[in-house]
Amino acid sequence: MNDGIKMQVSAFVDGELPEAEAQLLLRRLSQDAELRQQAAEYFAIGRALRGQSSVAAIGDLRGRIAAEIDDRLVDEEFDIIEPMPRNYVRPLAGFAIAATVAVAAIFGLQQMTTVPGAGADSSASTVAEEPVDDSYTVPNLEYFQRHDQLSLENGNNNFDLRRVVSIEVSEDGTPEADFEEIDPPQDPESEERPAP
Amino acid sequence: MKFKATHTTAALGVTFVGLLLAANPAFAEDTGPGEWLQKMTSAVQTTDYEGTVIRIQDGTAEALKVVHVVSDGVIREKMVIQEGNGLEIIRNGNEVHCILPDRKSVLVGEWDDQSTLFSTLPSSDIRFGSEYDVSIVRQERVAGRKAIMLAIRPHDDFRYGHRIWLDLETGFPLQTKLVDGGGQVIEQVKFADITLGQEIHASALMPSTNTDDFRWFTQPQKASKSGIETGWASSDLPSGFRMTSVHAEKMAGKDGSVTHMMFSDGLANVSVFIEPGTGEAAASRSRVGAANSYSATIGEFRVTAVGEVPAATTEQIAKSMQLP
Repeated sequence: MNDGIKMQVSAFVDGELPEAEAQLLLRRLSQDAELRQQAAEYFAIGRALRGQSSVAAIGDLRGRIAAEIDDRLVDEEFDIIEPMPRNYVRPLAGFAIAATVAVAAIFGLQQMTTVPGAGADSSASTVAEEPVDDSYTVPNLEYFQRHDQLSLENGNNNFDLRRVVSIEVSEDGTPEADFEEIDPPQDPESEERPAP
Repeated sequence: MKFKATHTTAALGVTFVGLLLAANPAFAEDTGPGEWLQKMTSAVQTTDYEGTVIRIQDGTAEALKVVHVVSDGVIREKMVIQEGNGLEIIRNGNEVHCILPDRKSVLVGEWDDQSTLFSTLPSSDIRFGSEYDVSIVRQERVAGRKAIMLAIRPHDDFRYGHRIWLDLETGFPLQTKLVDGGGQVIEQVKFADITLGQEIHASALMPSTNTDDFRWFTQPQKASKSGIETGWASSDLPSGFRMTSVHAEKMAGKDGSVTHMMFSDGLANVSVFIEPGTGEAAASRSRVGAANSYSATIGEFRVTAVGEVPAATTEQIAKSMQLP
């Protein structure tokens, strides 16, 4: 995909592409499956590197292309950036935990989830997408952690690029009972500061 | 004249193929998918790499900076999540420091796997054929490098499929997709940029966060007893799954021990947790990343199935658990 197309896709997603140019872009994308896939991936990676999480505009792009060609094909190509159905996402605030801020960092290529209490700083997390369906509930992270750990211990070959770690602290910084506070390491080499 | 032109074209073609094979000796060996998986396993365990990883899931993309060095069998690693709370993981051997800048906290832990990024990968030891087929699909470019795409396709909807793009030169995994039965991508992970096998300066592995005024924590190992006997069994396991282990575990906030049974089809794993005395709680489900869970009350026990499988699979397994 050349830079011109990249700029056009970016401009379209930002709502800044003139309608005439948008029509040309859509026509070109509707006729070139490989270009659609490249555009979708370029867009997703660009957002990630910019730290953006909104994907609303890509729905518009996809919808307009889908109007011209087979819907299913477009769904498959853009599925990597397809947002979950709105009714599948429950607002984070729905999981208030009284007087406690539970921070769960699910890293290693998994989403990071924070469950804030009342007044908690919601910026502490990237996103927490929990299903709105009443049959879905707050995950018991310890189950997921133990599942991961035993999978590793057993040498099983699941293909999950994930590790789960969590630390729960109250708003005054006190860790939950499960954690022990320790002294920082004294070995200067083990925590050497990076060169400024 | 015509003959000469054709001959020249043929010669160019031979030269091109020769150059292609010389440039990609691994591909020239007509490597099968099992050998590619072996090559991948070796590459993950031995390759030094540095790059940017993008994970895309549920319409959300996040980026991680990764540095990984193996020296004399010791893994040194640094991962920094580029958004959100900026979690930073510094690993030296088995000791891991998880730095949470927004909490001014460091969690010290111990991991014994080969790589934080690729904690587990499918290996050539899996006997593909009964529940999955594995095949080579095509060549593509990923992160500016030539890659070979492998597909691991399940025979039914009880498990997910996988697509893996391996670096043609080294076998290192450059991109992966987890795919459901309808072709929907559950999760995608790919390197946006990567350098492989080049010398990495020690400073690249140092923490980028000053932790002078941070508090340090550790989490004691949870008590776990393996190889215990249990009367619990599934009456309706999806085909290919079998029980691989049973543990009794202590968990936070639970008085008694929890029975933890592990089921596997060789690639996908499902844990079943059984705890007594939780009352008449309604059935519930949850999800973390690509893993689903389903909880049900069976008699006087709460049974929860967790695994990187479709929600219907965890539900079927949880509901099928019974005492003889």
